[in-house]
Amino acid sequence: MPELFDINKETVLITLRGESMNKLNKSKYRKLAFASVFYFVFALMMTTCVTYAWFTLTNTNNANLVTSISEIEAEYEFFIYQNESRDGSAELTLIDNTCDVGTEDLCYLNILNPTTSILLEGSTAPGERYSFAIRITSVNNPIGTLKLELGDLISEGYDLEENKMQTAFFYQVDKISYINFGVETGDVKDQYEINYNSNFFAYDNDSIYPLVSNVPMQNAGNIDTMIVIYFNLYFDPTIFGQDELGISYLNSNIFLNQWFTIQHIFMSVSTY
Amino acid sequence: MRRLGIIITLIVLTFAIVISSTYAWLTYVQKKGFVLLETHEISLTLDVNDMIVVESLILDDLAFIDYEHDFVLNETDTLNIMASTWLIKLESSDTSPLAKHKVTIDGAQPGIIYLVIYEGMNGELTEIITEYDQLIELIISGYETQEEQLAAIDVHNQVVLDEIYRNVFSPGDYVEFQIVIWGNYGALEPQESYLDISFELTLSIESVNSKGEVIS
Repeated sequence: MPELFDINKETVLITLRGESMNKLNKSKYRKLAFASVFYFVFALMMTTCVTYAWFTLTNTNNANLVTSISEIEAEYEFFIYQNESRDGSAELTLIDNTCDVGTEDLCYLNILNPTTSILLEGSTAPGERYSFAIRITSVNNPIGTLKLELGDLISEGYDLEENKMQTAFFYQVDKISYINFGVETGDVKDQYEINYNSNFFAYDNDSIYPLVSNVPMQNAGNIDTMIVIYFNLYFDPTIFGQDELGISYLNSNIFLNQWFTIQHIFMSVSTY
Repeated sequence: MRRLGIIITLIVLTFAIVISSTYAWLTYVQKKGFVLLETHEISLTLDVNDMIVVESLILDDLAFIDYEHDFVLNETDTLNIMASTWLIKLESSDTSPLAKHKVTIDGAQPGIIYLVIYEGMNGELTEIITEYDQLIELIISGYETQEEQLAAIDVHNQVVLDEIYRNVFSPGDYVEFQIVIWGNYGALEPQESYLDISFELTLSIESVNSKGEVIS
């Protein structure tokens, strides 16, 4: 009997301990869940406060974040220089230098809202240069800095990756200027700590090619400001491609019957 | 330990969302289409007297004239009628890039006299020149000997060919020029019969894109 009782007593004790453990676990879980939610809300609140404070300090906003977002909006217009001989533009200005109709020569033609790549008329050949201009206008007060990048390349018709015709193309920034009240400034690309780049395209189609960055949206306190970036693409006649053994060819013929497109130009205006 | 992991993940996720949202707030991005470029071979067609020429062309109506009486003085006024002519049309294809075409004629041989006449680009000269005697008179005036006169004609021919090479051909552009030929009795060897003799003229065209130069 005593043995039997002892056994029963022990069984009861074990049961009691099990219930106690469950209660303990639930309590801990609740505490941890509360802590998680707390930290989550805290992080969100802190970030909101910091963002709010940042916008307030810039003097561009009176606690209305939505207004501030709209103030960094900008629109750009894209121009292709019309040049039958394909020597590129020697007159880098948009003032009195835009085309009224598409058939004019030696002027910048405004391409309205280009959503897809524009086929440059005719077949291209080594030594040719194509000039472009992008005019950026702030929707409201010009704040922040501008960045332009080229990207999303697609190539067809090549035998080896290394022989994509884009590898013979060199992009180059010619001029950066501001237009204030219809008057265009000279070249400012070496001022304001502006970064501008010139380079050949790589055969890797995933790369992004920075054109300009850190370009102030306004110059010297002018409010009615437009920025114009002039740049060109040059088909370098000294790039020849190579054969399977890596030996360079002696002319550019390997780039014949190919095409490539730079699908997009990205414009970013940042206030940070 | 697992719960701690969940908590850390939640916090990291929160910060990632907040940072990316903040970046989006502070940055305005716009994406537009840019350009497409393509390359094609330079190709051209060569028409001679409205016939497409692939390799060779035979001219079997060559007339022989007396250099002094017919060619220089045109005493019988038959120089224009006696001429054999090739009207050549050189046309860049619609897919060719901007190109230049260097034409050379290898035909310097005794027994024939040829004159190259420029007829312009894209039909700019509406009337084809047929008054060869006037042109010849203009070219050789001031030169006394036959040798000097033929040299003057060679210079004229080269000027025409250089003019053709200077033109930049857009896709579909064409140039027209004439090669006018006469046989020269006086330059034949005594044992040669003008009825049996044949001459070979080689017309070669080297094409290069507008920024390049023909190296030869």
